[in-house]
Amino acid sequence: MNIMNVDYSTKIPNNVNLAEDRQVLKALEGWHPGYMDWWSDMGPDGFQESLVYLRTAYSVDPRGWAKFDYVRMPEYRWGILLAPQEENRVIPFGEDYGKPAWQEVPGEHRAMLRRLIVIQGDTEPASVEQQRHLGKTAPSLYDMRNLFQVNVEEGRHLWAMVYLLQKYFGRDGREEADDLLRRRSGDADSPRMLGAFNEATPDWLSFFMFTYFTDRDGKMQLHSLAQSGFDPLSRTCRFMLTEEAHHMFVGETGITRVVQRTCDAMKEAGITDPNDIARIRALGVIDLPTIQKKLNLHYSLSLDLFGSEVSTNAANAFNAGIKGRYKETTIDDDHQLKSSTYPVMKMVDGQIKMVDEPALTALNMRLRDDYTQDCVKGMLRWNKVISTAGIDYKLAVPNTAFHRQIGEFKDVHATPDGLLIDDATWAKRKNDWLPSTADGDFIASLMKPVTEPGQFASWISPPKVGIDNKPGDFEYVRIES
Amino acid sequence: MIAQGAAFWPLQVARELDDAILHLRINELEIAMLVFKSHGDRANVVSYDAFLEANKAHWLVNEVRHYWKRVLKRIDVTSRTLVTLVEPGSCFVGTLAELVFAADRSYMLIGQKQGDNRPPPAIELTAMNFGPYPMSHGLTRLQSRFQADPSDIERAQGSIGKALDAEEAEELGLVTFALDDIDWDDEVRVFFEERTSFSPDGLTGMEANLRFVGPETMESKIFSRLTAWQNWIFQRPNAVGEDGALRRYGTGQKAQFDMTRV
Repeated sequence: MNIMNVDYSTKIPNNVNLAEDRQVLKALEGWHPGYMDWWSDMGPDGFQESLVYLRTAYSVDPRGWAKFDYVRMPEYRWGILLAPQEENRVIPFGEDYGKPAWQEVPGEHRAMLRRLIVIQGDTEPASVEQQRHLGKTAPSLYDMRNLFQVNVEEGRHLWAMVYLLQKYFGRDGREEADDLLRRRSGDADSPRMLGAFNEATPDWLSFFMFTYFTDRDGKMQLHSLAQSGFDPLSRTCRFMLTEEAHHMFVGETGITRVVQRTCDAMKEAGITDPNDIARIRALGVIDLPTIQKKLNLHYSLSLDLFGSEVSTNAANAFNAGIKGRYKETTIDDDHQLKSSTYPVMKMVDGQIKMVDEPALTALNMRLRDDYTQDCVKGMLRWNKVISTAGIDYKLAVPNTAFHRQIGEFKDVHATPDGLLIDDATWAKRKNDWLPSTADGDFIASLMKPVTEPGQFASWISPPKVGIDNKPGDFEYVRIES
Repeated sequence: MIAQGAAFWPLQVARELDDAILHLRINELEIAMLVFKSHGDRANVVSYDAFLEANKAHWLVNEVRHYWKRVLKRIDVTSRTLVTLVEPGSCFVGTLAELVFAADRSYMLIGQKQGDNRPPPAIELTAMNFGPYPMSHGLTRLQSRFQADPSDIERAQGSIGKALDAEEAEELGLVTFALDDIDWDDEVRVFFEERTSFSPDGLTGMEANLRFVGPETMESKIFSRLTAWQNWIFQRPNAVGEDGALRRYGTGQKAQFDMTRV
């Protein structure tokens, strides 16, 4: 079988020769009905019978891997796709640096690997659950289609992790795969494993922020796992990254379009002061300070996903050759971090200071720094829109110490500029920096569905180009069908 | 029996097993794990056990029973990971089933293996599992195993003479894991790899903790759990040495272990 092309002859499309792997095929087919139940209970609310213009992977060739067509979401062909095996790949870091990559789970690292795969797997269905109500308030068919594309692909990413669990982790792997369908985002009794994945995604601005900031954490984690010495995990994550790029795109362009619409409306109305919030809101658009507050919230929640700055778990996973650094193979060092250090932002005697820590234990910090750099890049585009419109305002990511629940700064309060403040000041000023209930209510009031092809809600601009180069009035979702 | 002398099967097996264990303990220091398998007709083992029980007043039978008790005790205090695999064709019955209970982990196959037409394995309890072979702390291996709920012993006793398949054995708590053919090879491989990667001294201590559950006797204080901790953990380089586990804890660097086990 050609690894580049996907076998559609079994119930589960794949390029891992499932047809001849009876054991895993049996396990996956056993898991499938539970997945479909989960999709119908926790997947997008409504629209399950609508025809959605979705892309489906038919190959893992980076030059052309997807084709677009109308599909009912429950009939989407979720499959198991791994990037092609690299010949003679070696473990690119850690204690076993330079040895051949593992094709089977090394017994020594089994528990750690399973845990990492379960955590990654847990985030995939969680985001679908968080976003399940958004279809009903989509600002256009174009956006609705993008939402559903993200949802079905997060579903496929769950399949990817379940495949690894069922193929390589025997009985416990199957139990973990079932548990991935049992936990529910925000559930009091069995919540998803990570905090940010139990927060609500109440409106579309949150969705764009989520795809920009939180999915970007996912991207960084996938990049680190794509370096893994456990080759099947590496290959799985490499292909997932291909799809993940679209999710980043949805976030980045989504926020660009919101900012664009706000600036255009302000210009048309002759408003130059971005803080003239009441007048701007009266135009039916979201004022820039509120966008900044949403950004503060999502960015800080996403930073928590990186875990503690100094972490033995991260060090162990690196040393074991299981989870590398962002773009590990392009870094010029010993790839073992036996003696190097890395500057870590810490609380020292009540002050925020940079402290050199052994690089091995500071890996979470390093990945988070790479993440912040990646975040800032996209924001340049938003600020360009604002400055081109002649408005004196800049969106910026808040200081690392701002609004944190995990790590060095979880016990202190800081302003977005990184000034430490006491509890009373925080309580008083919190609503200046984070979305208040009133802000949420205002945004919610704008969330009116627009389902005419080519039409967009008042608070968001049309995209510059359509998906799959379709024209502006293309019917991305045929709701009644 | 007298005529058979050293070739009397229970005596011969005990001697050979004793010899094998001593050889491995003294000459093969880097072997981390001992795997017990058996092969034979279960009915024969049942008959020998019945013979040893029916004639226990006879001086030689008495000596053979005590000899088995000592061999099994020697296995208990062997500082290697002990595993018993109960596979098709095996005869873990009565006396030999003690090897299942002495093991740190036992795996039993559910059903058959693909391409192997032998029937699924079974284990069988006899009177020999309920008294003649106490461990150094005075309990039988089943009493030690069922410390949490002594009524489990009565349940096990109720199954004497019954051929127990893997699921029944797992249900009674007699084996650690019952696995089918699909999972068998990989689970067993991964377990072997996992155990052999750990600090041998750490394992000696942890395994001794789990082998000798419950009360101590003077004998067990000298030969079992306490001595394992005193001699093999608190002062050994694998823990407290420059590259030992305690020194490297929290750094993310792996401890370097001297893998020999004594």
